[in-house]
Parts: sequence; structure tokens; C-alpha cells
Amino acid sequence: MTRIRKEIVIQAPVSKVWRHLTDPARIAAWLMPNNFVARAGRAFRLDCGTEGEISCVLQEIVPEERLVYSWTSPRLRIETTVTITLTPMKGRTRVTLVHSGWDALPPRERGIAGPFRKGWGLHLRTLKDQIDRGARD
Amino acid sequence: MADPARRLAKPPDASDLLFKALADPSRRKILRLLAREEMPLRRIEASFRMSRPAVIKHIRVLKACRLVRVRREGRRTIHRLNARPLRAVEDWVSHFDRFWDEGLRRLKRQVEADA
Repeated sequence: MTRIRKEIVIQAPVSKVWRHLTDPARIAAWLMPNNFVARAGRAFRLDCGTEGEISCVLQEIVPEERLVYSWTSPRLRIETTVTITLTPMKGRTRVTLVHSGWDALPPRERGIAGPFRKGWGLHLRTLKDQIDRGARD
Repeated sequence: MADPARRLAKPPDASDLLFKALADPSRRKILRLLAREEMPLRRIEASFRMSRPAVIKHIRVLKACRLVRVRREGRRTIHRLNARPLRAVEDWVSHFDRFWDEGLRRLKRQVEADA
């Protein structure tokens, strides 16, 4: 599992879904308290309460279509990316969320693990397979 | 909204150290060597062009996040792989996997309730 991909269909038009993805008060209600600003390049934070916060930078915003932001925290360390895409479906909306960036491995190393685009997950699985094989040999 | 915060409150142990340890190709090579069999320092060293102190430094990082364990055997120090911490990296991903499942369900309920 090298990236997270989620899909959900919402019984509402994209315009309405978009509001819940870009208005701080509405974002707070389904995600976390935040200081989201709907402008590319702007940093914002998601407040995890006593556990600190998630730092984000809005990288891309295409109204009613796509939202891309970086996502990191002091505990997570690596910078990951969240991409939310809206697809209209006759008055309904398909929301696709991809959380990627888990494969922080350089390409050369990924080659060892398997296909180029596979990352940590596969790399670690490969390592585990090796370990299991090693245990059996 | 308290729920995702609480989920994030329990990230896997020491994963920051682990990511840092795994980010280095030499350290991953050491892990792969040890994945095949346990071995003394001299044999690990033989697989590298770098100096002994450099290899020792890498091993120290791997020991710090418990990926490598050592034991004495006479005058030799035998190194072996401990794969359990690797789970933490996968845990991060599955952690956020669940987190988004719940988040999107909440989003759906919220939008659909917005008349």
C-alpha cells in the first residue's frame, strides 16, 4: 500500500461539495479545526488538539474540480500530498481522495523493490519477504 | 472532529527515527544483508567501500530504532535484523487509510444534510 486512494459518491452537486471542502467552518465540521485559505501557495494548519497540528500548503486549487495540498506534521516527518478531485455525475458528485508521498525512496532503490512507482509499502514487503525467506533457508 | 484528532494522537512509535533510518541507501543495504543472515561487523563492512567508522555509524542509527540487534559471541559482535519496527511505516499508511475513510464518510453525511 503505497498510496491511499478513496472514493465516495455524495448525493449533492459539485458546487455544494466544494463549499464543504473550502470553507474553514465546514472543513472543521468533517475534518479538523483549521485556518484554510482558498488560495494557491497559502499555508494552513489543521489542529489536532493537544497532539499538535498538521502543516499544509495549498498547491493547487481548481474551483469545483480539484484541490491539492501538502500534508506533514512533526511526527510524520515526510511531506505527503493530499489530492481531492470532484467529478460531477448527473447532480451527484464523486469525491476521489489520494494521499500520496509515502514512497520517499529514491528511484534507484525502488528498482530493487519492484516497479518504479511502487514505494515504501512494496519495498518493505520485499524486505519482509527476504526476511521470511532468510528465516527458512 | 474529535475522532480524527484522537486517531492522529496515536501514531506508531518512533516512526520519525525509523523513516530517517530507512531513508539512507547504505542503511537499507545493511538491512538487506542482515535479512539473509546474521553476521559480524567484519562481514557487513566487507560489502561496503566506506570506512569502518562510517559503517559503524550507520549501524548505530539502525540500532537506535531497533532494526538491528547485536549480541556478543566471544570476541565477535553478531548483528541481526529485527524486522518488527518496519511495521510502524506500514502502520502510518493504514492509520491514514482509516482516517480518510472516516473523514469522507463524515463529509458525505455533512454535505447531504446541508439542504
